[in-house]
Amino acid sequence: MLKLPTKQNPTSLKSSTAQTSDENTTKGQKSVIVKLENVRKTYANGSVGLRDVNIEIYKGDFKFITGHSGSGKSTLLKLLYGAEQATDGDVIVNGSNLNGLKGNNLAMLRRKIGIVFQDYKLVPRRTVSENIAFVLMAQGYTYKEIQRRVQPALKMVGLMHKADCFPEELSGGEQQRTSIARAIVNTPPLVLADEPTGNLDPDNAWQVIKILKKLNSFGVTVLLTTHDEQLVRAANHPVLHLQNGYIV
Amino acid sequence: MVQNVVRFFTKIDYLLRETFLGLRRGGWMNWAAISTVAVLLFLFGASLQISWQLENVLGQLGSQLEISVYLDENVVGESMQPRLLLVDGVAAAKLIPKEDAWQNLMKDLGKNDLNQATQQLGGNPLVDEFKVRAVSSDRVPDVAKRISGLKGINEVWYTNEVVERIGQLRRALSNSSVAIVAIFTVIAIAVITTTIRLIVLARRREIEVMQLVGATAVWIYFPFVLQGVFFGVMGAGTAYLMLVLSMNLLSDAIVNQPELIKSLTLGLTNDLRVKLLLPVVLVSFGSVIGVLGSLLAVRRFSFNT
Repeated sequence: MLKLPTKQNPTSLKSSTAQTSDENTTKGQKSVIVKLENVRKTYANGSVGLRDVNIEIYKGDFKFITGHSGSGKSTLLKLLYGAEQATDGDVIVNGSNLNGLKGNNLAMLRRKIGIVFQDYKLVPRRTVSENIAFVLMAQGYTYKEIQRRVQPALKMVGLMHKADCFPEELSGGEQQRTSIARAIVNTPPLVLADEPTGNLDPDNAWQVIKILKKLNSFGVTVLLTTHDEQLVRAANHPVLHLQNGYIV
Repeated sequence: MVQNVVRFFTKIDYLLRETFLGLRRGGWMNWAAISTVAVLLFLFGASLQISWQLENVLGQLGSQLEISVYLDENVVGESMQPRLLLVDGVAAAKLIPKEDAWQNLMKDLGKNDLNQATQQLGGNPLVDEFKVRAVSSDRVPDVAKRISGLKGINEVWYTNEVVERIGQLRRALSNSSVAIVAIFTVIAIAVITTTIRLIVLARRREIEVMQLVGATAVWIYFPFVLQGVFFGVMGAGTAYLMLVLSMNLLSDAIVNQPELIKSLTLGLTNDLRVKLLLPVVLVSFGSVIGVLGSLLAVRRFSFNT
């Protein structure tokens, strides 16, 4: 009988992950949820994504990562959810070192991270609620539990009336909100958003930011990449600026 | 405890749903895969059946095949019996005294008056005869040779050619069917692999999302393996139906054929082996091909996670 993942053992992170427990203990202040130490990323074709990056993000932070195209914003985010591996240095997310993390271990880590993409990445032939429930089904939740969690997620993003629509029947803003609902439905402590407002008009973009701010107020750490300077100014949150692979 | 059971069934339900979803996405390629497997298994099943048929025929012929041993004129049957039984490979030896043989011959010829016939021929011209049964049909020539070497044996008769020919046929069939089955197995696996790969490619969006939200490789790809098994099992079912149909058609055709062919086929084998063993073998073989094909298809993808 194949061993299928259950909700009960999500933290079966093996010894290959470095448990940096001292960094995670609260010393009377917030604990670190994301840490990059001397991280460098060079792609196979020789181009450099990131050079010697050192970042510490604390729990409950809301940070913008800005920079022009090619500055390394997406690379940084990809390192955080394991889509790319750092050439040098350590990437530590939620206590796990992502160096060499793959397969089931990586899958377990990703369950603790909600990811929002610029192109939404919704499954075309499924409804809004099915797209959101996808996350939970992929992790082996029962139908009752899924129902219990999908409703609040839909409510949070204001899409309860569109629960049975298909992605092609939604506007760009609604699709992105669905994507956010999917990212948060299993209440991850960390949400990464890669240019979530890139394809949206200013109104919809602001709506998305508002939802993310609301999430942050519940204690979720939010990391956003964007090249929209106006949005960043309006949102009024700390900013990490990337230029040519460096943090400036 | 109940929670775990519910969870288990939810998972099974999910896996089955995903499997059917994948199958729906397969479209006409599903039929390509199933029919390839069906052809392969039909050929395989047919060769198995023919081989069993030949075995039966040999068996029947073998039991009818006796070595007829004719003794010298003055040798008494009873004295030969123990010596015959001592020959290696002899299962039984039945004496037919010349008086009985003579009576039987007369009966066959339709002559009722035994005594008259005997007088005309100046006595019983026949000699004592033994019907010797060999242990197996393969050893008949060998046994016959040994018996003919014994003292007091005049002639030894057995129908060796038919046995040899059937044996040769069986071997040739065996070799060629192994070759054909091997080639078709490779083809079937290749078709299944391609079909599953196409389905995976068609669903790569969903698979990408599943990977990003933390589904394990098994969870993502097991439904595809199940799809492969589905192809194998459906192919086996189709092949079995085709085999049963062809058998029925053949039986109907044979009924009208001359006696020789009828006796050769001795009624098509439709024993327990065909009814039970054949479907089981077909389904197992089909499933194995399905699993192999789909594993080959997803291996490439799952290692990229």
